[in-house]
Amino acid sequence: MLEIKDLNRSYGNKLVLKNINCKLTNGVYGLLGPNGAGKSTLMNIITTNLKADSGSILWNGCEIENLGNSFREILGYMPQGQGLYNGFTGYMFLNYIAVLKSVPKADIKSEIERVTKSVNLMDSINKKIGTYSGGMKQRILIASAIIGNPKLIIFDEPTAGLDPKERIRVKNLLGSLAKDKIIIIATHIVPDIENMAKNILVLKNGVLLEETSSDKLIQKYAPNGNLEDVYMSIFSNGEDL
Amino acid sequence: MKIIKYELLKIVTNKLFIFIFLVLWFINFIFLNYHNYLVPENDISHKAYKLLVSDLKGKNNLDKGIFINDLYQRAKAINIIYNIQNYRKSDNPLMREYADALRDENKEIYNMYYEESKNPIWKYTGNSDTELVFLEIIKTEYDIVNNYHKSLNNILDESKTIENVSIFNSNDNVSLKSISKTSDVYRSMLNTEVNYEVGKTVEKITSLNITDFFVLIIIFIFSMILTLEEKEKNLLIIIKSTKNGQFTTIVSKIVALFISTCLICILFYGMNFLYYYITLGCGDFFATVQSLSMFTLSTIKVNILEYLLMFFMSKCLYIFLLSLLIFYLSIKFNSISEVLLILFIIILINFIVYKGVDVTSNINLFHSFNLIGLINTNEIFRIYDNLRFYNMIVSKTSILLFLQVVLIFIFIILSIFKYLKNMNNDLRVNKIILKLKEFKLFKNIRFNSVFSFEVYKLLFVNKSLMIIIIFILFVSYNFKNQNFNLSYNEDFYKNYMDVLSGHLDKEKEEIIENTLNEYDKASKQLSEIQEKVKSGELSNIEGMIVSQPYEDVLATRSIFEKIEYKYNYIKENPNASFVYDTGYNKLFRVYKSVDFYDIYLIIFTVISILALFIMEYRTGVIQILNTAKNGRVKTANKKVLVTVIFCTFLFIISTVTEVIGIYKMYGLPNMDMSVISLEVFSNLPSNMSILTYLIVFYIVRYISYILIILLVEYISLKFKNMIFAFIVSIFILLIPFVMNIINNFQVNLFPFFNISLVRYNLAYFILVPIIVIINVFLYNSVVKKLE
Repeated sequence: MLEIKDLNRSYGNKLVLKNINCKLTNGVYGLLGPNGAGKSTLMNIITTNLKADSGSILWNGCEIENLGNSFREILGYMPQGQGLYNGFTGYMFLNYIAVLKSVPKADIKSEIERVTKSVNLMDSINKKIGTYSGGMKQRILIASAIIGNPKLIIFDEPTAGLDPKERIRVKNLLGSLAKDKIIIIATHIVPDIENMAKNILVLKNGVLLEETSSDKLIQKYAPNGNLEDVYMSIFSNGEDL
Repeated sequence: MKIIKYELLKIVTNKLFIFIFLVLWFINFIFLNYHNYLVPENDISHKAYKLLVSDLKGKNNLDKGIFINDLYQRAKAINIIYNIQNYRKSDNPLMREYADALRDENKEIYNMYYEESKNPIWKYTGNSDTELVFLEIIKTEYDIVNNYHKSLNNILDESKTIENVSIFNSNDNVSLKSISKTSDVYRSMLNTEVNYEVGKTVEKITSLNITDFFVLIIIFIFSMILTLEEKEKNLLIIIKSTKNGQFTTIVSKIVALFISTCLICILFYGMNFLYYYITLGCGDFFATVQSLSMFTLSTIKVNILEYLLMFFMSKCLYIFLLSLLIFYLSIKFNSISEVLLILFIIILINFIVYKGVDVTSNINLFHSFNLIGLINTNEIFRIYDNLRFYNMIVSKTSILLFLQVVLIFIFIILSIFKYLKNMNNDLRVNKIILKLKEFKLFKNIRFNSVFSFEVYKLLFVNKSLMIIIIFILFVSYNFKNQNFNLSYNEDFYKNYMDVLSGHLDKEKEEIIENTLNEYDKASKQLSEIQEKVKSGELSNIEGMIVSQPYEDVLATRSIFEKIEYKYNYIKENPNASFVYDTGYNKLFRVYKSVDFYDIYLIIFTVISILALFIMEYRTGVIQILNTAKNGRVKTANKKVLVTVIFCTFLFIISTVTEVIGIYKMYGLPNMDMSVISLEVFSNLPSNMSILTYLIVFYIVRYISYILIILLVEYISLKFKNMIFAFIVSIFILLIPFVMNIINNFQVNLFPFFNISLVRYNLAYFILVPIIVIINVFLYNSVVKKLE
C-alpha cells in the first residue's frame, strides 16, 4: 500500500502541492488535472526525483526515503517525453533497464521477451531506437516501466502518440497488470482511464480535490455526461469552450 | 529581417556566451598591455614610439631621414663615449689602452658629444642602451623605405638578368613567366611615392595572433549555438512547420553569422586598433603603404588607412569562411564530439599541407591556401608573389582572396542544401544514415552489468572508440615526423656528459680542468693575435687566419659553461653526479610548464568524456535512471570508473610516446643516480633516485589528470549542455596552456602540471594531498549531481 500523508511542496513562494493525503492499494489510479495542477510534482516526489517540503510517503508503512534502493526496486516509471538512447537497440535498452533494476541475470532474457510481447514490439526489438517511430518509442518506454515486475508503476501520459489500436492494447495491458500492483496513470486523455481506473485523483491548484471512482465523479459533477464532462466541469472555470 | 534579428537575439541573450565573450575581450586587453607595461619588447615602451611618431609628423621623407640620422648618430656617439669611459676605468691596462685607441678612432664625435654625454637626455626610452637599440630599429626601417626605388630597380635588373639566362629563355617556361609577371608588376610601382612612417603601430595592429585565437573561439561557440543547440532542443521540427521556416531560416542564420563575424571582428580588432592608435600613436595614415618598411615589397596601391581596411576585410573574410565551415559541420553532424573531431581532422590536414607543401614546389598555392597559411593576413599583401598551380601562374594576393570568396559561396550553398535536406528528411530518412543507424556491432551480445553498458555508451554511442583511434594515429604521426637529430651544441654537450657520466672523480676533474685550461689558453692566444693585428704586426687577414683554430676551440666555450656550472654544483653537493639532463629536463617540464603533449591530451580527454553524463539529460533517460535501483550512485560510480579507465589509456599513450621520443632523442641515462644530480631539484632529498622521482612525478601527473577528468565531468553535470560544458572545460583547462605556449605567458591556472611546484620538498606533502582532496570532493559532487 502507498500512503501519502500531509504532503506539501513549493517552488519559491508558490505552493504547488497543498496537504495531499491519500491511500492507494492495488489497482489502477488515474491522476487528473490541468497543466500546473501539481501532477508532475507529485509523481516526481513519489518516484524520489524530488523531495517534499513536508509530509511523507509510506510504502507498506515505511517511509520511502528510508527505504531508498529497496523502494526503487519495486518502482517502475515511464516519464513523459521520449527519453531514449538512439544508438541502442530496443533489446539493449530493455537489457539496460533490467540491469538498472537489478533483475536477476538468469531472468533478464525472459523478462525482455515478456515485456516486448506485452507492448507488441517483437519485430523491431533488434532495431536501433533511432529508427523507431514515435509510437514505438512510447511502447518501449512502457516496456521499460514494467520490466522487472515492479509493484508500483507510474505512467506519465502513456498513450500519447499511439494510434487507436495501440491505445486499446496498452489500456488492456495496464488493466491486466493491475491485479497485484498499484498503477498510477497521469493523463489528459480522459477516456483512457474512464473505464480502467479504480479511483480518480483530481488535482486542482495543488489540492487533491477528489479521490473517488469515475462513476461517483460523474454523478457529482456531470450526472448526464462522462468523465470528460467532469473534467470540463471542474477545470473550465465557467469559460466558454 | 525579423528572423535575422531573432537569430542574433538568441546569441545576445545567451548569458554564458556574453560572459565568455567579455572574458576573452578582457584577456585580449591584458595581452595588449602585456608588451607595453609588463614585458616591453627590447625594453622599448610604446611611449617611445608615440613620441617619435609625433616628432616626425609633418616632415617630408628627407627631413625625417635627417632627423632620425641625427638622433641615431648622437645616441651612438654618446654610447661610444660611455664605452671609452668604462674601458678607462678598467684595471686591465690593455682595456685602458683600447679605450684610448677607440677615442682616437672616434675623435670627431667624441669632441662633439663629450659635453652632452655628461648629462644627456634620452627623450624616448630614458636610457642610453635602449635608446640606441630603439633608434637602430627606426634607422633600419627608414633605410629600407628610403631605398624603396633603389630596391625596385634592383628587382627589375635582377629579373632582366635572369630572363636572359638561357635555361629560362623559353616561351613555355613557368619560371620565366613568373619572373616577367613579377617585374611588370614592380615596374608599375616605380611611380609610387614613399614618405617613411614608423611601422610599429600597423605591425602591432595587424599581427596579434592571440586575438585571432580568441576570435576563433568566439566564432566557434557562435556557429554551434546557431545550429547544434537547435538540434539538441529538437527545435528543427518546429522551424520546419513555421511560415518562415526552412529556407528563410537558414539564410537568416547565415546572414546573422556574417553580421556577427563582422561585429566580433570590429570589437576585437577594433580594440587592437584603438589601443595601438592611442599608445603607439599614428603618423600619416594617408601615406602609401610602401612607406612602412614591412610593406616595401608590397604591390598594392593603397594608403595605410586603406590597407588597414583591407586587412580588416580580409580578416573578416577568413573568419567568416572558418565560421561557415564550423556552421556547416554543425548542421551535418549531430553531436558536438563529431563536429570537434572532424574539425580537428580538417585543421590537422591543413597543418600537414601547410608544413608539407614547399614554397618552391609547383603546387605552392597550397602552402598559402589553407586554414593555417591564411591566418596571417599580412602575408597575403606584404610581398608580391606568384603562386604556381602546375603551369598556371597567379598573383598570390588575388588568388588567395578569390579562393576564399569561392569557398565561402561553396559553404553557403552546402549549408543551405544540407539544412533543407535535414529538415525534409525529418532528420532521419536518408538511406545511408538509416543503414548506418541499423548497423549493430553487438547484435547478439547481452550485457549483465551497469559497467558494461557504460563502456558501450562511451565507446560506441559517444564514439570515443573512434576518438582513441584518431588519437593513436595523431600521436603516431607526430612521433614519426619528429626530428630526432640533436643540434651541434646539444650533441657536444651530450658527448661530454657521456664521458663524465657518474660520480665526480679525479680523472673527470682532470678532464674538466684540462678543457678549461685549453679554453683559457685559446682565449689568451686570441688576445695576443688581436694585439698584434692592432699594432700592425699582423694584417687583418693574417690575424683572421691565425686566430681561426683558437676561435674553433672557443666556439664550444658557452656550451662548456653548462658543464662547468655542473662541475661546481657537484663539488658543492657531493651526493650529486654527472647526468646528461636535457631529456629529464624536457620530461619534467623544467623549461616550460606546458608541452604540446599536455594540450593534445586535454583536448582528446574533453572530447571523449564530456558527453557521457550529459547524454542522460539530453535524452531524458535521467528520469528513468533516478527511479531505478542501480540508476543513481552505482551508475555515477561506473561512469566515473569507465571514463577514468578510458582516459588512463589516453594518458598512457601520450606519456609513453613522449617518454620514447625523449629517450630516442636524448636518452635517459643514470636513472639510479640521486635526483639532486639535476640542479633544478637540488632541494629534494638526496637519497631519492631519478627513477624514484620519475615514478613520483608520473603518479602526481596521473592523479592531477584524474582531477581533470573529474573536473570535466563536474562541469558537464553542472551545465548539462554539451556546447557550454565544452566551452567552459576548454576555457578552464586549455586556454592557460595555449597562452603559455603562444606567448610564454607565465600564468597557468592549472598548476598541477607545473613541475616548478614539485621542486620543493614540502610540495610533496602538500601538493599530493591537495589534489587527492580535490579529487574526492569532485568525485562526491559528480555522484551527488547525478542524484
